Amino acid sequence: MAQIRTVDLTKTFADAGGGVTALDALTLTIEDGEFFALLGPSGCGKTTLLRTLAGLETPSSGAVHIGEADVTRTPPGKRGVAMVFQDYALFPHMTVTENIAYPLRVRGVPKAQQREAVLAAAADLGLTGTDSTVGLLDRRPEALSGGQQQRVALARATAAKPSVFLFDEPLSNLDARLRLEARTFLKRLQRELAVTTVFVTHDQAEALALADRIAVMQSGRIRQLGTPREVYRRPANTFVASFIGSTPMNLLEGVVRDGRVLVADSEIAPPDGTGERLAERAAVVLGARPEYFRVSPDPLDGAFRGTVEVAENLGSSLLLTLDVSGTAVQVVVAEEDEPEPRATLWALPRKDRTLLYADGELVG
Amino acid sequence: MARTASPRGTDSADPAGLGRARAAAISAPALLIIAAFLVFPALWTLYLGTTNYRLTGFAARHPRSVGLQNYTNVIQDPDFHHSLWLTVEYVLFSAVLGQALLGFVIAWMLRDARGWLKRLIEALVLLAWILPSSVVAFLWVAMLDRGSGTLNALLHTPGTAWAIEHPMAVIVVFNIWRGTAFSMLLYSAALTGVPPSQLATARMFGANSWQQLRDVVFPHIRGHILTNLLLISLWTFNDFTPYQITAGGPNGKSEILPVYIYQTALFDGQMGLGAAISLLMLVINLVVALVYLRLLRDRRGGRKLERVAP
Repeated sequence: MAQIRTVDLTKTFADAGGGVTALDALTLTIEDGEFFALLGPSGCGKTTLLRTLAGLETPSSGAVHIGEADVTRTPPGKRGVAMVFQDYALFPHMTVTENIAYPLRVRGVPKAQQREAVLAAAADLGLTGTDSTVGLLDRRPEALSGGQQQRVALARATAAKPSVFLFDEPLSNLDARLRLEARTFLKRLQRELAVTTVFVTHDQAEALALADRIAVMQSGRIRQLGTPREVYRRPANTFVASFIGSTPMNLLEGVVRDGRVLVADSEIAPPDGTGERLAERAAVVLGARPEYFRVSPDPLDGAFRGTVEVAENLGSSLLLTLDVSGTAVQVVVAEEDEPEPRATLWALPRKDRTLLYADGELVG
Repeated sequence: MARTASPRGTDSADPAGLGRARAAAISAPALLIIAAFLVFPALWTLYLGTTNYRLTGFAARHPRSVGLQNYTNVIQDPDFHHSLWLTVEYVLFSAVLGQALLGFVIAWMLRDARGWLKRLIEALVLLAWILPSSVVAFLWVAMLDRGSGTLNALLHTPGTAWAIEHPMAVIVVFNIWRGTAFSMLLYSAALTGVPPSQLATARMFGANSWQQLRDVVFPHIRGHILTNLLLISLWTFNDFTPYQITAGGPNGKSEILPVYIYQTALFDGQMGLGAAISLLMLVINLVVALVYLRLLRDRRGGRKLERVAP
């Protein structure tokens, strides 16, 4: 159980072109017991940050604290940190039991105690006690399914009794169906163990579903830090806005005129309380999620008027791409409201969910 | 030849779709060369071993069959025992311990190294391997020379005749220097196949270097280790280069088997006896190879069994 703090953490990798800054003076506090996501596109520094917390990378400057201790120069084995890798990194020549017992064996824990700890960890992770798990503890990793392998890796990590868990892309090696199941399982496990957990993902849905707080990263910097609700509802900048959400947010360039935003030949009402602060003729970006539109075949005041270009079936809803005077605007409608092809529709963004960005940063 | 017409070419007996006649025609030249330069000499050696054939003199013109006498003579010959023992020492110290161990240590230490240091060390080690053996032997003779050798100058031990005072040590060190490159290259390649996440996992749990090697690295490269030991053992067992440095001397003190055969067959002229020793050596080679292959197969067979029985 420990808080994690980084102070001005910087990591540069030397290469032929002078050097790549993977972490840029990162200062971050992860609370005790928190389930924390590092989210971002590949190359944003999230994995480097995780590996630096683990001690597998040495920072170029700055410090890492776990609990009370400054562990910046502490070797990985002495940090009280357990890491689960994307490929689970189970030892192929050891049985499940031997794998789970490994951290204890390294520490020289007596055999009987090892056995006890293995059984406890295996029970916690649902590796014993059901028909499908009979004899599982004596198998080799190659004889296990992907989901079982992940649970063995988790059991091995819990057997080490760490004060911090680090997960590298915990769900990306599972197929789609198993992934949802594993996600629920992982969240429950983290709640029960109440161990500070940091995980890396490039999948925004995973981060939103699992984490207590998310750090959205880009180019070695944190672009936004907040709860899933905050990050989803009010992305602090257009980068986060475009990254979060399974259907990407509409980000439409426009200008301010008479307290309204002129976008794609339509006059849209700005978010509440921003009207008077906006400078006339200022260039802005209007952000509106496809889910937050009122769509109607009849004219609506202050709405986009467009024709249906593409309709994509999402199951319970449809994603429509409207052509609004040459600008593409995406909206989601209920399955009952499937429009005719090339139909003309009015789409009114919900005022309380509309966002306004100036110079890439949220202004309202 | 109906098989050649197989439209999809999936016939397992004829995957290339050539037909028997054409396949035979294509491989015939190679088989002829193998027959002429490999099979025939081997059979000729087998025949020679049962005769009293000599390089010169009466028996060279009229060799006489002596049955198994050559073999019984060799097996009772204390010189042969001595030579065999020296060969075992030579293989054990220079190949199994020297080359394999040093090669692994270099590969392990250079696994994360980048840039000029790695390239320099690899180049130096490789250089020792690719130089022609006559050149290398001359360099070593010059280095070890009693009067003006480099080694004596470096160690301030004027007048020490290394090749005479410590002949076995000299050829052992020489062979380590000469052959380590192969082990290094093979282990370097093998180490790239060890999943970094498994090594990192072991480190995260606090495993020290030895534990990481034991629990992660060696299980992964076991096959490579056995293959490497097999190859370098056989190569060293049959290595003739030491002759160019010590000529088996002084007084047979570094007369390993290939040198012993050379001395017997070509120097003493007893071709029949030499052929018999050659055949014994071949048998020893085969036994060594079989032991290694058995170890390799045990490993693979064992893993297969586990997969079948969950």
